Amino acid sequence: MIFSSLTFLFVFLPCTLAVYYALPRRWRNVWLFLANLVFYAWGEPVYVLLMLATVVINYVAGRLVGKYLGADRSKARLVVIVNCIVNLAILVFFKYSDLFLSLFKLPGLGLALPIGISFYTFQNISYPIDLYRGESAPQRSFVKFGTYVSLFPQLIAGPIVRYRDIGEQLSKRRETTSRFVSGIRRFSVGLCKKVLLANNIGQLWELSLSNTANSAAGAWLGILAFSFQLYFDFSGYSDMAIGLGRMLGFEFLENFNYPYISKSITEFWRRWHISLGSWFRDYVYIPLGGNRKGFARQLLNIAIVWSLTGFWHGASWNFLLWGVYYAFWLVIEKAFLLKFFEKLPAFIRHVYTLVIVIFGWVLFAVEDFSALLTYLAALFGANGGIDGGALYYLRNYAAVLVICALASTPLAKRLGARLEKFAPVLTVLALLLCTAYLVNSTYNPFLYLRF
Amino acid sequence: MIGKKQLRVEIIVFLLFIVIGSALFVILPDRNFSEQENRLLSSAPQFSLDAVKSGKFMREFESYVSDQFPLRDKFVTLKAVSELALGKTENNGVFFCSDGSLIDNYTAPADSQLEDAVRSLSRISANCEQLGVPLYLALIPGASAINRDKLPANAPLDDQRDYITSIYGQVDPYIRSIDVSGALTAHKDEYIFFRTDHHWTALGAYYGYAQTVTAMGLSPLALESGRVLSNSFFGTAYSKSGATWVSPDILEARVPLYSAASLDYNSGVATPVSIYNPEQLTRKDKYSYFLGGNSPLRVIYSGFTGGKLLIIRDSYSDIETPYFLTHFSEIHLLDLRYYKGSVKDYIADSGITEALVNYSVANFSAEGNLFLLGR
Repeated sequence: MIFSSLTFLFVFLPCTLAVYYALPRRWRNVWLFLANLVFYAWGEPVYVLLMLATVVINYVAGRLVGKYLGADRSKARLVVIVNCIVNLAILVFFKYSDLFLSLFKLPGLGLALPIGISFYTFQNISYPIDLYRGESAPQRSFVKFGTYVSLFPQLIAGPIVRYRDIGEQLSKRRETTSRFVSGIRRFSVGLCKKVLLANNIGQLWELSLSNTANSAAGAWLGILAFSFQLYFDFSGYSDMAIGLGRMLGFEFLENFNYPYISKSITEFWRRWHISLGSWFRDYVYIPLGGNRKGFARQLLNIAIVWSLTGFWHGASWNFLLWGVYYAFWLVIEKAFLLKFFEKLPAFIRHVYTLVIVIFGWVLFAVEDFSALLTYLAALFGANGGIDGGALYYLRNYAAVLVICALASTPLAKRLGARLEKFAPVLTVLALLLCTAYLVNSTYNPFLYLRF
Repeated sequence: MIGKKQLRVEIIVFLLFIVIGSALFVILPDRNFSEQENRLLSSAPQFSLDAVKSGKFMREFESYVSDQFPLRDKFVTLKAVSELALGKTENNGVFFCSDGSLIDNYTAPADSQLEDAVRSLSRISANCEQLGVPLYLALIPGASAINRDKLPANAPLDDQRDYITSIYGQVDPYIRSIDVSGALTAHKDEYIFFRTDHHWTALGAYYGYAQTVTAMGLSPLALESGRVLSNSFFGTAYSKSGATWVSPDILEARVPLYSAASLDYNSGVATPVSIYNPEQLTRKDKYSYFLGGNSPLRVIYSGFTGGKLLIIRDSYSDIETPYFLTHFSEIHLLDLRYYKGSVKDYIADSGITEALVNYSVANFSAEGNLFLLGR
């Protein structure tokens, strides 16, 4: 199930909340666990077994690490390693096997990707590691652990919520009026980002991607549209996750912090998908030695981390290319560019960052290699500078683009704070408008009578 | 700071919104049919373990929720208004035009469709030549081609006339191509297309008909002044776009509406039917006053003398067919979407004297069953 659907908004959410608050506290996790499983089974019912198996494996791993930790650290370490391998093997099998098989010209398995597997695999890898490092205590209750792994707000698109950040909340959390209200607001903001902004501007990107003869203006307009689509889609999901979490009494860490206002690529990655960046930092970069083993080793570590980060985003070589692209810029910045930048005006640094990031999205967005070359050529004017189509799209999407640009900065938040006393009215208006767009997306008139 | 009271109000407002939405969904009776969308709506899915396991239940449940969602059509309008407010000049694939008309977008098909079309036309042409029956081809452009000047500036859509030119240029010379596009262009500022529907009006159809019968060596009926059948027709472009602010179309007749016996061969059984459906004038789909319906084959016995005309048709023919009545003793209307027999055998067995492939470009270039022409 996805949040931006009528079924979620008007069936799943009211039912889940009603029962959740009707039950006494000690039963709430049980209910939430059940609701999570229904939520998960909605899209691919068979994979709910995979989800349950995942819960069991990691629950057992956690208990074993807890058991061995005091007595025999090497055994605990072995459990951590085995658990890591098992989780990665499941991820690789479902996500990457077709890609690897295609390398050997073998037919793919054609398996559907289990929803959220990239996110929950990382959560599950980190859990025993944190236990081993003494950063959290093992969860003894199977229900609570299952509730955590399958927690529906963060299940499908993150953020990557680590057990150590949420473990205590599983037993002791306070559902309060003000937390619930901030949850409503955050969820509504996220829903608007996804339904009103991302889906809307996404149409412009679709048009541009399917056009093989984009003018330079059309191609830049298209990739600008994709930059906004991806940001509002992804950060919208994170907002909805954080908001839904708060409605249920949970507090998740932030995942986005206005990435498009960054003044360097290094800063961009501190603001974009924060939970992924910090996961790679804590479980790959630092264990590899980070910056403690000399500059050459640090550069290698950056290259490894960013190749993996790229590849995590999808089973296609362009994501690897995209990761390497960022490794390149991060290394350049670490080597000298950041020092050089200190003397430059902020405006130039903003422009530099946005150009690198937006250009990077081309590598990210166009999976097919020959289509990628066509698109790159179009960006540099292979089909002329500007055409009527680009003018038409600019005219049609100008307002949406301006709204997207403003909403990418803290301005929108400041405006929201000013309008706080109208919050109930704004919430209803936002939900009405989102509902209209959601209904419209299922609206399907036929020219001929259809039976 | 915001007081505790307002926070409570905010929670209540939010919960009311989602609860009222779901309550209305449960309370309001399910609708079977949407006039606006011209289709049957999904009903509540059957629950069974197998359906859950395969995911069928969930998919059907989702379409049930969205189809039966309260105030569905109103929400579609709200979305259209919002798009208009954002400065968009189109919604759901329909352009908002300068004179208040709504014109469908058009995307040319892949080259392979065009090749298929030419190949199928060559086959039917060879068949007709063998049978000694003249074959005519009339491809009818829509408002997006004839009234391009009404579209928003720089609107990026393909020109249906390019498709017509390619087809006409490649088909076998035995086929007599009819320049409907030219006939319509000569009258492009008249009311030849509905403003809220993708079809041509009775007037537009008259010009198409006149061009066609002239090509057949007959002289067309004189054009009469319009007789209004309905002045509150809202068509498919209106439904698709959600632009409920536009004014309605006028549905007219431009020739005497001769009555004629007609037989409908649905599921192989001949049923007598009327060629006009006055009851449609009280429904939304008023265009179906003329012949309308999904029938593989319909035969009209005009009561006039003349040859037997076969029209391989789409719905553009519905409003045009009454004009042909006085010229032919029989008119056979064949719909390739439903008629799966051999066209060649049909022409031979029914004693057809003239065959006409009469299609809108929008449908012809999207038709996947054209190979049936050649059978």
